[in-house]
Amino acid sequence: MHMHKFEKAWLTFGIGALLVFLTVLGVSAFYMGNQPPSCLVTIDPEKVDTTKPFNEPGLKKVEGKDWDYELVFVASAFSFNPASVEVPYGAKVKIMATTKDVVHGFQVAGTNINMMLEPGFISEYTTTFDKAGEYLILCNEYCGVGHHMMTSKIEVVKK
Amino acid sequence: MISPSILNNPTALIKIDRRDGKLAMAHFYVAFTALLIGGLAGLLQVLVRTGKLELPAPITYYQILTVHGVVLGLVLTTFFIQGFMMAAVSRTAGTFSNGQRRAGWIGYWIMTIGTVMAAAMVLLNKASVLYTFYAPLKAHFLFYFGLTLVVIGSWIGGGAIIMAYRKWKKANPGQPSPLLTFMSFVNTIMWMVATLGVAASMITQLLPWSLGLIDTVNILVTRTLFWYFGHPLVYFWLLPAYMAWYVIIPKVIGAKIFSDSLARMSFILFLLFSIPVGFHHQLMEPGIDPAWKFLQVILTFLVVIPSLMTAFSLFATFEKHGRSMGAKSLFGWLKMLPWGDARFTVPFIGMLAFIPAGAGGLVNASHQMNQVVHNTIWVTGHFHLTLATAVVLTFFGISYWLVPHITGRTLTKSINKLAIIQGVTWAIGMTFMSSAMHAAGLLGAPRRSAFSEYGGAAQAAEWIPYQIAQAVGGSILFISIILMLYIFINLAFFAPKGEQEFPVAEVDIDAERTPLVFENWKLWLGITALLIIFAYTIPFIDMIQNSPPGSKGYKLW
Amino acid sequence: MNRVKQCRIFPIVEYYEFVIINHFPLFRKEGLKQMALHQIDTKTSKTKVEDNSTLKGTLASVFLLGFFLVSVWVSVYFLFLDRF
Repeated sequence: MHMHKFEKAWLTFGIGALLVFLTVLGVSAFYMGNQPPSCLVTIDPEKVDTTKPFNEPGLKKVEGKDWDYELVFVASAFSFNPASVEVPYGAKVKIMATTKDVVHGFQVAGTNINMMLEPGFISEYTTTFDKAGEYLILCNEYCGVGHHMMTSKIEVVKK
Repeated sequence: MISPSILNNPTALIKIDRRDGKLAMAHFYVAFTALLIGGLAGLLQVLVRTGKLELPAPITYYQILTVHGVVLGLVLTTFFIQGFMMAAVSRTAGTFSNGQRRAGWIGYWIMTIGTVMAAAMVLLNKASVLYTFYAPLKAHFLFYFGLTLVVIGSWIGGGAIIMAYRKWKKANPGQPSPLLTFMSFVNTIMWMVATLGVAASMITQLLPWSLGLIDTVNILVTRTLFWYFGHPLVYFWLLPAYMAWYVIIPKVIGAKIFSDSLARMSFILFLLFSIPVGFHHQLMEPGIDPAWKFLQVILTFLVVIPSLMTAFSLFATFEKHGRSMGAKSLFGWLKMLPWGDARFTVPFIGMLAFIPAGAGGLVNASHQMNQVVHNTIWVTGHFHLTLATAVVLTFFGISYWLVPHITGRTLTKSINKLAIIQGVTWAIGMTFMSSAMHAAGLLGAPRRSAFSEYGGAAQAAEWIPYQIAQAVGGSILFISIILMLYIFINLAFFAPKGEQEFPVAEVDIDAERTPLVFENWKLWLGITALLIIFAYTIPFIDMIQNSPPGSKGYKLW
Repeated sequence: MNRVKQCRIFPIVEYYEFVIINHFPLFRKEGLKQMALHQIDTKTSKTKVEDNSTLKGTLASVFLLGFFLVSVWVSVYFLFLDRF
């Protein structure tokens, strides 16, 4: 099939650009660990309040792990628990969250922390809080009448 | 030069059979009714989100949002597309047989009954679950059943298109099928393979669950089956627009099709790569191994390629035409385009919109980059460019000539002028609204959310000016909708009688002969199936084997 | 019909065939088809040189589009890198 040489040039450039993007994303994800949140651990959605670590939501210092703190959230219609938390500036934190009822979103506005909370699954994301400030946590997946009132907040404080 | 296509059906005055026209028109009545209802819902939404308007009880924001999504994203689209494809097939493959037409009507009525059923449930506030109806939010059984009927109806109507294609092939062995018929056939079979997913979710999970026959459903499985359907759904919307861009627009501007073969190749690539990519809508979800997510990201990037090809073909069509009219400079051929012809200009605005639309789409699909935009209102900005501008303006651009063609009337100079105003108004409104959505989304503003100050958070206060801009844009868009409805009613009932051309372009004489391999369906459907099996089998089995306890239903609205 | 296939005298032959064939409607369809196919065969090899200059605007347009796509992607990527 005959293809005009300009079209060949264009598709070479286009496909080349796509390959470059995929390589950048792939290296970042698979070699540098920047995968989208994809935790595979399951939980019984009816027993969240009695299952560790969700029986004690909030920030906890941990030792001997790759991260400094664990920040545990429990979502339900229409609130996040805890409703507010302080995180030390520069801390590497593993955020772990789940939902007790329907699907909720967990997004920290203005950051890359953005994950779906699905009943029966634990969602996790590890990051370093290297910018001080007050960050709004909101639910970004429709969950009912109170969806737009479901909030929490993280204050990243320099101590 | 004598064009070889003179040997086929040459004249521009071919009229589609009255009965086929009636069938297509029935679909358009539903589609444009849907435009009015869905458009009204959209206007209310943007006004509510300024914080200055409250909906009168008992109407709620999420109910209106469900109307908007279902009515515009599922009803307007499916009905317009079926009507257009049926008209296009009748025009190029020949008048429907009685059996095909009967299938078309049966499909139409089942779809319409299903639509009314689902809409009734939404209006009664028994199904404020949005157009993605994510479990474990549980709607009334009739909502799910109504949508299932819409899908079943589309299969039957699609059956008419498949029958027409096969009949043409039998009567013309060894010939490539007429291009519009080929494209309608590809779009139809892609739709049928895609809807298997949502049908499976309905039949095995959501219908029995909402009837009380089963207690719980597997959330991740229902979501995965939905998005297996949900991504090719957007190509089901896009491909008819591409049909118009490839085959109809060249005739409108007085040019030829740049390459019949490359057009067919792009459609085959869409068939192959539109379906095994649903995970790019689930990149932020737990329970799916990121390696499988990345594989589907790769496949998603491959489905960009036929759009890159289409961009080249379209520019080449315009340039060749312009140069044949004497244009000399690098971009001088742009001036040779018929800017005063709404049948060209309004779809052209759609083509332009597809550029930022595609850019946003690439970002959305980019694996971990999706964290920046997932479920923010950037995504809403994106699909208002793809579906609500590129596709919808092209559909409007089709109806300017197709409606009068069917009703035996003409597109008058004054309606043509009004249509251009309508298109430009849409462009202005959408520029305000979609730009504001993209920007607010990057700042973290969520989609699918009623007005809120988020407890007084400073970040949330930043989003409000963008919501005002969205309201300005949305209001302008609503004005454009009113103009379009006026045009539709005029062309359907009041315009002067006459003959309105159904423009179908011929292939450029420089183009190579079309290889028949593009119609080797065993090959293409085989590869399609293999890709789906490859992309989905293992993660899907994982989802079932490692599933947590299922979820009961919730009615939280 | 054989003469149609001789490329060297193509313009003259084509006109001659066209004139002759038009007087015979029965053969017109076949003749035109042969001519047309012949034209496709010769034209694709002859017009490659012309093609380059006639599609420069297309090349420029798609590359502008390409640079736009790349810019948007890179911008959001840097935003992603900048955020935690």
